[in-house]
Amino acid sequence: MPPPTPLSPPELSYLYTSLSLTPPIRLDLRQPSQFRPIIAECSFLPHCNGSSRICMTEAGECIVGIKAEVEKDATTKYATVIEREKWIEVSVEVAGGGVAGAGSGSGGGGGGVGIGGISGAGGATGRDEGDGGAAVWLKEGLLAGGGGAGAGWSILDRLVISSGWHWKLYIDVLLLTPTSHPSPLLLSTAVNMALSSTYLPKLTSPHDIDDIPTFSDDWAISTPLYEPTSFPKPPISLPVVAVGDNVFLDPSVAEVAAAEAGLVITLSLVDEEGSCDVVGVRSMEVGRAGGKEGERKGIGRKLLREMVGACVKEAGEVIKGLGETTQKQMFRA
Amino acid sequence: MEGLRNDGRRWNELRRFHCQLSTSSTNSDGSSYIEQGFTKVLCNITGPAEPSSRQKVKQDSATVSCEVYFAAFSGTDRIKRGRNDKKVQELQTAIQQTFSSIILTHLFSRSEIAISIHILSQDGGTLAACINATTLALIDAGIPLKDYVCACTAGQSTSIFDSEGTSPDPWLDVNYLEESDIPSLTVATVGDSEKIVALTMENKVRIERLEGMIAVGVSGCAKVRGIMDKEVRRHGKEKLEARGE
Repeated sequence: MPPPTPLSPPELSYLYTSLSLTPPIRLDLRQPSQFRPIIAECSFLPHCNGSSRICMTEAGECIVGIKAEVEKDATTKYATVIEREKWIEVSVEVAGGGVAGAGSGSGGGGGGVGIGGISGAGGATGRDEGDGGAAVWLKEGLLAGGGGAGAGWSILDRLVISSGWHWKLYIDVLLLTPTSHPSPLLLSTAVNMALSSTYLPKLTSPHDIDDIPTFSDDWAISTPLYEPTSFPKPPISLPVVAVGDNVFLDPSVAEVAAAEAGLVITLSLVDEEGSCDVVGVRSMEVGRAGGKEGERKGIGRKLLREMVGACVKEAGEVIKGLGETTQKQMFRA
Repeated sequence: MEGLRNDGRRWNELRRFHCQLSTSSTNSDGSSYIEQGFTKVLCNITGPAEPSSRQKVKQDSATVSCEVYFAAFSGTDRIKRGRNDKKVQELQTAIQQTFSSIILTHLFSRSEIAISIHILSQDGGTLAACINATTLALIDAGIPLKDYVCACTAGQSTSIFDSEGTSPDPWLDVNYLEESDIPSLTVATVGDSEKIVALTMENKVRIERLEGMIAVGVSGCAKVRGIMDKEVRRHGKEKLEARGE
């Protein structure tokens, strides 16, 4: 089910026509690759290692808090990958709708919100119990790491403290506005910003000792989870929809309802020029201008490429912009 | 006996009190954000609106419902509190009862006023911060109230005595460390009338200490009211200026 809209069939049809023109006309007169303004704050929660708050006009408000706890390795020789993936736990809580549990990907009305109606997300078997659809794809993007220059880099390596000990990262996403349609962009922007503002206390005990590690309590010498000057940066997921041959970034609820195809593309920045790697692609439920389920068309290969291309082109600037804002806010004092 | 508390305050000093109105303009009718020291609370109001369920319909007045969410990251350790957690329910009931008597509910029959509170960071005085945030959010939503409801905490040290054996003055606005160490109470008053609408205390304390604690708490409420009133007026003025009036 696509997200419900208050639009009537004639309105949808009008919207569909104006979006399929060349050049297309969006309802708010944005360029096809233009984003809407957001309000972003970070690092305002004293009990968290990293935190952020993002407000979007339509999608509402989202607060992310990241906490890191010291944990003993449970890693055995035979279960390394699965054990290590448990070092990061993502949970999405929707105010009024309770914790987004399994099956939330199916969307639907009322309080139970499917995050942007991303298909497959609810069905994916989350390794962490109770993790909903959004939690799964947010974590996927995180674990994907970097390609290209940052090949072989993994966030999990940054979480290693010393032999036998690691940080366990809890990423808690709080969606404050249950009545609206939460965009995947809102969630991923908030998580991105919280991650780039995450700092871990500096280790003061030697690296190779199995005893409980000790840390400096001076936050001025703490280490960032993502180095601000090097790559990769935290990933971001961009929603993109297509109407006819036109591709639109940051679609509004109405545009999603009118679109023929939708994707959520997760990207990570790999170098200073702003080139990005695609680390994940998921399809997003769209309204097909109110068309019936049976009329579902697939996405052509050319269109798919265009959609991904549009995201890759813009994502560099988005991630860099977010990173710069985060740095500015962190060190304004 | 004068002395400084471990965060450098005197006995009758509040922590830094910061408040904001209309923090999330999009999806609620009124919203506010409060910081009392490191306690940070966000409040959203929806309503007066059609009740979400039939049970909540009252023929002659509005229903006030309240939901409190503790963010998992709000404390020092990560704790997830469910909907049925005892502490959550207690807070919800306290806030709901306080505001049912303060909101002029008879003006909105057959409707619901929903209060939704998010506790982002806890450092003592959670209930007080929730009540203050709710007052501001209700004002922002334009819901008629009898007057401001302001809350504050006060604690009484039970282990410190001077040479004559008398204990020091009660401490105003206790933080988490103090709260876990000494008996403390939360008191809420209406306007500047010194009339108490809510009073809770979860510890044991000698009866002769109680009155002093309440007196200090009430004086704290008056201070909080001053700060909140100033912010409401500043916010209102800013709004009017933005409209060019």
